[in-house]
Amino acid sequence: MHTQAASVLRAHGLKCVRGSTELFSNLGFTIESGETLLVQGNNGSGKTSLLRILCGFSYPSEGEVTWCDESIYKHEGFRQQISYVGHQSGVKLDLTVLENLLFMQRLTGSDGNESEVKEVVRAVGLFKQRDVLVGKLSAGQKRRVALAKLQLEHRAIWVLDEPLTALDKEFIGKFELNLENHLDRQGILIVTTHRELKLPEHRVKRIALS
Amino acid sequence: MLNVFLTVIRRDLLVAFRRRAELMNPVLFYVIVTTLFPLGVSPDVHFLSQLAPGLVWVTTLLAALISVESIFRQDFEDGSIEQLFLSPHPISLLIFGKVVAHWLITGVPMLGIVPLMALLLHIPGQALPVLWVTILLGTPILSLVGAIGAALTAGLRGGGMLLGMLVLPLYIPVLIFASSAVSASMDGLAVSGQLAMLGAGLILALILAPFAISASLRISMG
Repeated sequence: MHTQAASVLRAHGLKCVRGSTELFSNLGFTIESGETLLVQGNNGSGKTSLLRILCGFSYPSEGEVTWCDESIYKHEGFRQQISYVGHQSGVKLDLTVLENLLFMQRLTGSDGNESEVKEVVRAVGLFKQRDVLVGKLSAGQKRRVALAKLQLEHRAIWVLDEPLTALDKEFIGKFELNLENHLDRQGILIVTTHRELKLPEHRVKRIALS
Repeated sequence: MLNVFLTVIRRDLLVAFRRRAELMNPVLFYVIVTTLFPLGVSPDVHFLSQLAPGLVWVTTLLAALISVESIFRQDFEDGSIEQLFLSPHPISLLIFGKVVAHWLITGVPMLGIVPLMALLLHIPGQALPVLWVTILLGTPILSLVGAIGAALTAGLRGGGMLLGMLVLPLYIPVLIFASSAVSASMDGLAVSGQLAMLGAGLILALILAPFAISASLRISMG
């Protein structure tokens, strides 16, 4: 686990403009280890744009984001702290479940531990489908593959854009436990969801975009 | 670091071989153009051998342009480009792995098919080794330079036209030196100057393109 004690992600005066539309402005918050930022808002309110700014994929029109008091664009180790699961899950449809997860594991710097990958595949309930092309799985199973990588990357900040999409109730229950364990390990969770996510209320900070 | 570089190449090759129809597009394009050209213009041996160096290289260039468009498109669509940016490894190394895979998929088949097609266009046997060397030196430049344009246009709808406008001017030196080398070789003249220029272009592209591609991808993502 790559968490750092008292790691703080701070956003200050964030403004995001896409084309001629201002999505949000003067947005600020602080998230510490063990906390969750729940981003809520209607479709098109800028939730995904905010998440992409917090990951460092794009720049805000104004304001800044810091990790441990240093700009995320200058902090050398910041991107190695992030696991990101977006709308597009980053999973290749022409690779099998196992091939996808082995690639993701190696991309994070691991030498490749196939037994760990198989354990994770079993944990997400896809062991029977481990050699099936992801393109042949259902939408929910594809989402499980994308979320499985969280267990392999061992990173401090999980950024999840609508993670519960297409998942069944049983898996959502397991996934919520995973999220709680991540927070117990002093991880940070940044999540957008239109569905209710059961997390300890005292660990959740909410921001609403309009 | 070498491991992750090879892992990126292996993954892209695996994905490409599981999409065989797309894999064959550049080669099919090349074969169709070079076989139709004598039928449509003139089957005269002298006429064809005069045009052949330029024709071979214009077709190679357009085949490369067709294939390079897709180099990052799928990664943008499925979200895997973000995963590359979150890797602790240098993004330029990972991107270079993708370009190498692209060249293995599109450039290497050209090495096999172009000399055969050259015979169809009546390029004399003495010029075939030079033609082969120009393909060996030129196609990696096409992949590397084309990837810069592909990275800049990957996030755009209908970026194909823009890609052509961005990349074709940069392809022109390759076209000039490569076709000139083949023509000179057909006339029994020295070709070392043209090949040296292609080699220098390849070295320059190998050094600079991975950084330019990474910067272009970052712009497209933002």
